[in-house]
Amino acid sequence: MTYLYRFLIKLILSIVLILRSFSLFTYSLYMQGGGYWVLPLIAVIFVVWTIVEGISLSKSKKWYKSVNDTDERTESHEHRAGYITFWINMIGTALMFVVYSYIDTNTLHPLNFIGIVSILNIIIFIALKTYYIHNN
Amino acid sequence: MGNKYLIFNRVKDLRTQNNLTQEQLAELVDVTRLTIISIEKQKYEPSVGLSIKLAQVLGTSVEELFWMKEGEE
Repeated sequence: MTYLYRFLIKLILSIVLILRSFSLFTYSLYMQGGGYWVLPLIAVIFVVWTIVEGISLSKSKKWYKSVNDTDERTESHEHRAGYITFWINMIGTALMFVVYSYIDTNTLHPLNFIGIVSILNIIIFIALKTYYIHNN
Repeated sequence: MGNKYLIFNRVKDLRTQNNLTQEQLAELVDVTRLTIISIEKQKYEPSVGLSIKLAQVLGTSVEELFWMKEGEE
């Protein structure tokens, strides 16, 4: 896969994400509120990230080179980050049962809770992976 | 207190002798530039396969490129 091909996929994904999230944003704002800003925020971050990558690729003229951003070292760091994220996920899920023994499901819908835990997992995984790759 | 074996290398010296940039060496051995930086800073110990590749590209033997020293843990 070349950098151009990956960039185009990211571009399409970011357009779909931004369109979908903002249509959900207005609907959710109207219907329920609370946590409605998470998806649009992620969409905006993803778009900015894609644009920054596009600029960096233009500068380095790597459009037609094949993607080479993983190797044995990055893989080992991915595994390490994945292991930590897995346990955070387990704790988060266990916490969900504890929380729902005290609060009503109407206060925080279980699906929203799962959504929050999933998004947190993705963010923690990416943050840990980036940290390990750049510092070890 | 046990003894710990520390791995050292002369990747940076040989890379500069061969007039290669970190980016070029990374491409030649099929890893990322950050991995080359980590190896040169003695932060990362490469696998046997990568060590052999590095030795071949830099025109030396694995024994010449990497060595081990005993250190206190």
